[in-house]
Amino acid sequence: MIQTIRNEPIWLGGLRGKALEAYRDLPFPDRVRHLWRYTDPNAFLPDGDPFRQNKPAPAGSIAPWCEVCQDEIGEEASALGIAMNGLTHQVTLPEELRSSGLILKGLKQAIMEHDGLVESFLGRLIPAESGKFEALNLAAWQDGFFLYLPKGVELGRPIHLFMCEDGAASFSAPRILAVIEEGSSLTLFTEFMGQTVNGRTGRQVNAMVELFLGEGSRLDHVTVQRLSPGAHFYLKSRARLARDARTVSVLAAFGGAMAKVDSGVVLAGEGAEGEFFGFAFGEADQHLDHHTEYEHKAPRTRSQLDFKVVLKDRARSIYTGLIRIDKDAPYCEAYQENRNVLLSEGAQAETIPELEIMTNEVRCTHGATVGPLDEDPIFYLMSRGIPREEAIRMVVGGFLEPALVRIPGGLQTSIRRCVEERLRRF
Amino acid sequence: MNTQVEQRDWGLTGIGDDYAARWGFHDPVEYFHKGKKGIDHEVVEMMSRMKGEQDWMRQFRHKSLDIFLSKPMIRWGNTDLLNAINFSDIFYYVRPMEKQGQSWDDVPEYIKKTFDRLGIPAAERKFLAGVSAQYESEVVYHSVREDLTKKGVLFTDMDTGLKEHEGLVKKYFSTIIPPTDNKFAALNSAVWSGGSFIYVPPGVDVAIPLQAYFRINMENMGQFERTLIIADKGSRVHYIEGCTAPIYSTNSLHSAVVELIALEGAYIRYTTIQNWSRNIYNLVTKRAVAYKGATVEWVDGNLGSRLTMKYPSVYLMGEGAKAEILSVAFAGKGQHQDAGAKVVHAAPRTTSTITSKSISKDGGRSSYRGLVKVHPSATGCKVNVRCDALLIDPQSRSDTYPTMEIEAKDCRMEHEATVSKVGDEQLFYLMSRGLSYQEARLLIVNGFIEPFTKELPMEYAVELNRLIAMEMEGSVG
Repeated sequence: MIQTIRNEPIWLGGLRGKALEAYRDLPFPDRVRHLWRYTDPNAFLPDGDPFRQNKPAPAGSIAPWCEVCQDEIGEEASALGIAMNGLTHQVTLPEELRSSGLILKGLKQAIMEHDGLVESFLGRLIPAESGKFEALNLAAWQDGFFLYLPKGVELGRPIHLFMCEDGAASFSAPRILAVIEEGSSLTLFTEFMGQTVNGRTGRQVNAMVELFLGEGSRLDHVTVQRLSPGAHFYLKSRARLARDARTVSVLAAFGGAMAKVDSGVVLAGEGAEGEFFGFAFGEADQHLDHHTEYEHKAPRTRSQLDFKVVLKDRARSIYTGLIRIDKDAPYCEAYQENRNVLLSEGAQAETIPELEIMTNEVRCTHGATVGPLDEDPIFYLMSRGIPREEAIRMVVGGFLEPALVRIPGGLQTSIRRCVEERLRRF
Repeated sequence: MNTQVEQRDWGLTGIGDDYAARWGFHDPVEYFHKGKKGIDHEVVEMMSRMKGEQDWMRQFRHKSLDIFLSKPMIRWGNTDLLNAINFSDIFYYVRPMEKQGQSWDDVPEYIKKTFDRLGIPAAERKFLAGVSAQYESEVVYHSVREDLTKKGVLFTDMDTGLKEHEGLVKKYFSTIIPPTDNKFAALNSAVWSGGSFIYVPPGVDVAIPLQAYFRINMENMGQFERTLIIADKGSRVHYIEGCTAPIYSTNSLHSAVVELIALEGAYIRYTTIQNWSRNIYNLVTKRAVAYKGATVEWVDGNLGSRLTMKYPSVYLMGEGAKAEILSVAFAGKGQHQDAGAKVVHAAPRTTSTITSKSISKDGGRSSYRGLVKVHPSATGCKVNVRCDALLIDPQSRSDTYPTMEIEAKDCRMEHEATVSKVGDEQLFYLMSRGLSYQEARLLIVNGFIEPFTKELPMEYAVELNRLIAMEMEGSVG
């Protein structure tokens, strides 16, 4: 049914068909399991028909969004992609990059032009069986981005991908697939942004990000989530690292009424390394549910993770983090830290850092804290003549600094503004 | 409720009474005393009747059985092992006399060896191995008992407690762990037998640790024991359950319920060292409430069993109450120690400390599963959770599943966990001082669990160290 409408290759029709079956057959997430204990899965079920094609937004209405995106990246981007409501609107790729063999295209277009290449990667890291909402995206995605970096290309400047939601669609399911070949390096920004337009907000966003890192490659991946306050956001990202590959993931989460974000790394090759620096800043009645999953499947792999949460008003955060070290993965090191600061009376933080260790030649630790803002540094700053509000801003800023400093350039300024904006309203 | 059974039961009393007189011989099998396998209302009715219980307890048992039957099997933890339990293949009530049937020859070799190494007296060995039904400790501990009675301390088995102090029992029984709590608590509520009942009057300090040994008999170590400890205002008591010596039973399910109540300013410490034989499922619900200024401490050691699921918990209900949970688990070959701790902060300025140490060896699996919950009204709380795991070899597994739910703004919660192997530098250092590899490793393991051992009474600590030594040598199992 789906494939005939979309005029897609047979393999993709088959993939979508299987995913659709999985979406129908897979049991609804079990709320007894800790991953769904605090978050109602009903929030991520599409209101309408998820398979109905979203209408491309008229150029006029997209123009202001493009300006915002351009503003944010300034001069630094080497390439740029903008999608609206899950449909790819624009891809800008300078000629010199194109000639180096780099591919950046809308996912749909990439399937037309690089059929075999896309087929060998699409849905391999986040297959339909991994969950109901994962299956839904694989069955229903309309567009997204495909990025391919050939062997030995080191991109100096970042690539920006924007997933915009203007509320015209009740459901959008963008999908991003990036393949980085041996020895290449890349900085990638993916930003989910939304605005309330005429009272409508992008209600359901179900996004999947699959990242394949070849031997010795490096990816700096920054994800920013600034969806509108009414949005329900489901995101799963997985990176698979071959031998000696390295990735640094940064996450900054601000938006959505309900957000469930699952960010994972599979350390599949010996010596691979994954670092994560992220934070979520919740306000009002936001419900932010973050999960990280670091799977050590090969010897001598390393992971380090630092996730910070700041909550005010009645916001609620759930953080679940898993480190799994396989039997065949000796000499691994894994470290995980989750710190939560509650600024207001009604705020709530849940933290579940988990370890599953199947072999003994490892060093593995995790730590978690929940508490109010430390009064000592605030007192110190005030004793130096800094007003209390300012002092709080500085201390919270310092708390989030490990993630903030890893966001390059203009985007960092923009994120800092977001943090300050939230603190000003505190 | 099964009224039919009731009538039938009545009709049968007295049958066989005059056998000996009429026929000159006596067949010792009593009709309803020989329990049958499996569980239904008939078994529960029979049990309650034989114990001569009041109507409220009988009804409580029946109600609990309904809850047990209607509750699905828990869907978390080691579900493979849990789903393998065949509830219809278990004796739910076995009278002491029936237990005498076992022979010493049937007792597994490793259990006998452990007795030897620990130097357990012969009479005790037979009792622990389930060969002898009675172990007369009353005489030995007579003076201790007298001393307690003078202070007004009640210390009996649960069945006696129910008979002699019904008012107290009725007031507190099942108020901490209702049968609806979980499937195994429901099962225990339906078929409980034995366990301890302790009441400490206000202001009384029970100076010596109370041990089940003081009144040891078969009712004591039932499969479905039920313990209730009430420490009245300002009193102090330390109770020790079980023993380091392995307890052998052919019945594969042990499911106890332990309720502790620490009233204002009271102090309860509950020490357990569990060393069930390795065919046993040990699925236990242990919970305490601590009122204003009270302190509850669980000291919990898990060495035996095939699968243990045990999460001693404390509900801090009054301002300034304190919880401390200290646990050690040793998972050897084929074992899964799924232990942990749970603390609920429901009052301001309450504090809790959880320390968990686990060791996995020879493919064993140990899991820490914990929950700390701080309610919005519980301001100014402090929580500290620390889990350390030691993996002895590459086949073994360690999991850490802590959950922290913090709903109060000014609570301070800290959690830390580590997983590692025995450190090479430490081994190297000790071996350079002339210790063998085995000795060095044992010393490090003993050091690792030292925070636990030092909290035990001396004789227990000594036995525990010997047991760990045996486990490390691989001479057990």
